Amino acid sequence: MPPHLVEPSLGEVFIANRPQLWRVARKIVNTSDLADDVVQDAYLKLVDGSCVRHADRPIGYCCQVVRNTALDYCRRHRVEASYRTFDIDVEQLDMPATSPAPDRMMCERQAICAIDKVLAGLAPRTRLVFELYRLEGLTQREISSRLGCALGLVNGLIAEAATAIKSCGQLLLESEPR
Amino acid sequence: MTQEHDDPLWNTAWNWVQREHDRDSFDDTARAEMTTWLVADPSHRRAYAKAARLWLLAGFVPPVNDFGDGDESPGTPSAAD
Repeated sequence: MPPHLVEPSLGEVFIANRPQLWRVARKIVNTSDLADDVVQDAYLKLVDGSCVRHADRPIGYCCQVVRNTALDYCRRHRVEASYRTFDIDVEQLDMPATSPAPDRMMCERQAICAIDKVLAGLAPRTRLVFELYRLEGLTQREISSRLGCALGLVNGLIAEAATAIKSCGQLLLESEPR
Repeated sequence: MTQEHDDPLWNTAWNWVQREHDRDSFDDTARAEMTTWLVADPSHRRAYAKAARLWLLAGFVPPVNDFGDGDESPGTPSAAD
């Protein structure tokens, strides 16, 4: 366990709230088995130090990691399902492995640090819109009505944040060698 | 390692991941279009996987705004200047 995690461990918070976190996952993915996978996956991400700095609300942060992990499972699932509608055998495709190798973990940690840094450079309003969109899962329209600003503005601010994040892509390894 | 800014493949992959996240507009037509692109070449799938991973990691950065947990009260933008 990485020593740089100063807080008495997100992992402990995670375990103490596991049932609640499982329900968060279960609401998003289709089956209990998948919810188990998501929770396990999210737990590993947390204890492996994917969290690069202090999270102000540990339980809220655990929820965030679980929710985003679950949503990513769904995304992958939809992509694979769409291959099937194209009559393509998913097994035949070189889907990148999902389990992180140590090198990859390191890269991901660095990428999160880099993203954290570029996000810190954004104007507060841009950051807020990004967080509502990416972390809270609101749609652009919902953000626009919640903040009382034009949809076009929301769209522009999200694009700005996304462009900043995109520049961090060079830190990630090109996909798995086969 | 830094030519990525102008790498059309990376740009395309990133744009797909962004469009896919936009639930308001990513409809069946858009998905079919994305799938067509994905199945066209393994390099497309690799770039997409990487872009999706980067976007996922962006979701693991702790927020600076406090949205409350699971309740709908609006988060207070902490830095309002």
